[in-house]
Amino acid sequence: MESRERRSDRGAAQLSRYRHLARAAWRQLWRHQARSVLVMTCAALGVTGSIAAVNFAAGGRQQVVDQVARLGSNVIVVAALQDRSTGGRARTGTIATTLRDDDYRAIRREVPAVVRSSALATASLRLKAGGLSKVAPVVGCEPAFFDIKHWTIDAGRPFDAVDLRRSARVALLGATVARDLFGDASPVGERLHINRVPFEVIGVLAERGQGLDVTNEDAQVYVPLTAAMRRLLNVEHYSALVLEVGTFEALPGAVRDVTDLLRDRHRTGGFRPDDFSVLNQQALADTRLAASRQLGFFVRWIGLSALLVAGVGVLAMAWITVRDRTREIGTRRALGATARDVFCQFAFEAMVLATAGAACGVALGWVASRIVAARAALPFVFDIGNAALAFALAIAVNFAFVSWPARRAARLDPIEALRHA
Amino acid sequence: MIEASHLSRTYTRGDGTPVTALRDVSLVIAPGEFVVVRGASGSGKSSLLNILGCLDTPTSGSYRLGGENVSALSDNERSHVRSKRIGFVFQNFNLLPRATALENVELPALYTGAAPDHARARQLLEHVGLGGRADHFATELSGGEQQRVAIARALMNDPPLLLADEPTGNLDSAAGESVMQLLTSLQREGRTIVLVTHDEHVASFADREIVIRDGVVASDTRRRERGQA
Ligand SMILES: Nc1ncnc2c1ncn2[C@@H]1O[C@H](COP(=O)(O)OP(=O)(O)O)[C@@H](O)[C@H]1O
Ligand SMILES: [Mg+2]
Repeated sequence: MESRERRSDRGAAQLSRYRHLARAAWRQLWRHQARSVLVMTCAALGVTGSIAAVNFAAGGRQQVVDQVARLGSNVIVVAALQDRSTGGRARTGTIATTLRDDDYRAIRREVPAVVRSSALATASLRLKAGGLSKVAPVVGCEPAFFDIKHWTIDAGRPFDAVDLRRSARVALLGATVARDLFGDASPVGERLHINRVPFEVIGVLAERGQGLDVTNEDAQVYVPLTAAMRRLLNVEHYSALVLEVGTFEALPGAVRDVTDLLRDRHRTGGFRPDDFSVLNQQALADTRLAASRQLGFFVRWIGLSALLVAGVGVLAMAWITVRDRTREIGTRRALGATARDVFCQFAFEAMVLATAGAACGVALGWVASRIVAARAALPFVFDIGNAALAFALAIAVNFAFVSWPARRAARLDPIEALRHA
Repeated sequence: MIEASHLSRTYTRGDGTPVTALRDVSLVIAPGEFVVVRGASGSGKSSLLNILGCLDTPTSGSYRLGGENVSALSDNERSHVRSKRIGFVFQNFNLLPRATALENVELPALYTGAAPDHARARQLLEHVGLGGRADHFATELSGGEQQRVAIARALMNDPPLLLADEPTGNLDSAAGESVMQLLTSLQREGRTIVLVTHDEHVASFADREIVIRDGVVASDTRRRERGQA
């Protein structure tokens, strides 16, 4: 009969046995530096590669999400254009002059899902400030435009309803325009000539980068809608309407309502092609997100294979180690090591290195993700969850691979091992 | 100490043909004896020693060590027997090259579960005349020194039985002489020693000589009473 005390004694002995074995194995690692560094490098590169690949895809996805968030996913843009898909003839892309104030008002009246809106009148015009001159798109818009776009002012003030009513000659500059015309000096309060009409710069908008529709909003100038229409363009039509819908769920209905309303008013549809197009950000975003999901799937496989390839490298090194140390294994067995002691020693040695390597790989993966993001002009994303997953997978893969040579070492016949050259 | 009866050992070669290395070997060795097993190369000396050392199990026959039937033990249990009751000395020393003399001596203690007793390891090195070399790497030592470190290592867990397979085989005669002196002194401390050799001079250090020929005990002669060098 075995008393509980004796069993717990034996448990403690086992524990201290593994502690001492671990310490001795640790010393051996230091003394086989070249091999240790190789194993670590192998394990590290696998993790680095998979983290960088996954974050690259996540960066691409993030870019789309950022672009959508910037305009809001529940925004409809009605553009005064020939619909490209129906323009079988050379009319494709011609600007129609039929999108007018009564259309705009009808939409606001009859489509209650639209909660905020701005009409736009846009043209490329010559800007002059100080001695510098350049051509840039000038966008006439209503104050709500910036709210819909979730766009803030970096310096100065936005324009308001009063400016709009007075057709005030005030302008907000995109960050790029501000830099091009005024350099590092603050342009607020400065004079800007647009097509020789003097405007006052009242503010500079925050920098945003490229939007989903590929226009660079930072390279544009924004003035009150009325000022653009009366003082610059002398037109009665809009180039676009930006409509914000209260909820995302109401979006498809609103798109349908707006389209039906405009078709009715313009007597288009059927045989006559539409003279407007209704776009929404979500449709654009969906296509791009679908593409990025596909990339994400692909990249996961790349990441997994990087881990597997690294695991094979670790396996190969462990295999060579076991072969080179066969005599040592025989000696240890003769001196009292059990098969399990031998397994633990080789598994421990390899796993210490593989784990340290994987940890380095996470750090390197962070660096690599930064570099890839910078090179690809994507937002830098470091997904901690994915990094943890890559780390855990690396440990699991390496353990699975390493346990093979370790088991081989444990199963060696001590006599054969001692006779090994 | 050792009771072996009708031990046989048959190996299977790579091509499947059987080789019988030991045939019906029976011997009894009392505690404190210094026994030498002598025979030509290939006569089965190492095969016998491996069985006596619980590294191998006989194909047939029984082996009792200290009264316990160890030929029936599992691999794990035989490991524990080796750890606690047997010290090995090899022809080619088998020190870990990237470990110091002291670490090599402490190695068997790793497999007992007890904390390594550095003081004991140093004392053993002292005992084999290498106190000053404790922190040298194995590769920095001469053959004779390496073998003495190996003997200190065999003594680490204080086993009653020492098994040595041609311990002087790789040494020049002076180093061999000093290793034999050391082993003789260990016998005087009360340890049982079984030593395998093909060298008659080495055999002259023992009390008793067993000659093996083709896996069979050819003669078993007592040269002198125990420890009467
Ligand atoms: N693992 C083995 N497989 C096959 N044959 C072996 C093996 N070990 C030893 N032998 C054979 O058994 C015989 C005895 O070997 P061994 O005990 O090593 O002799 P000794 O130590 O006296 O030189 C030899 O013929 C040898 O070739
Ligand atoms: Mg031999």
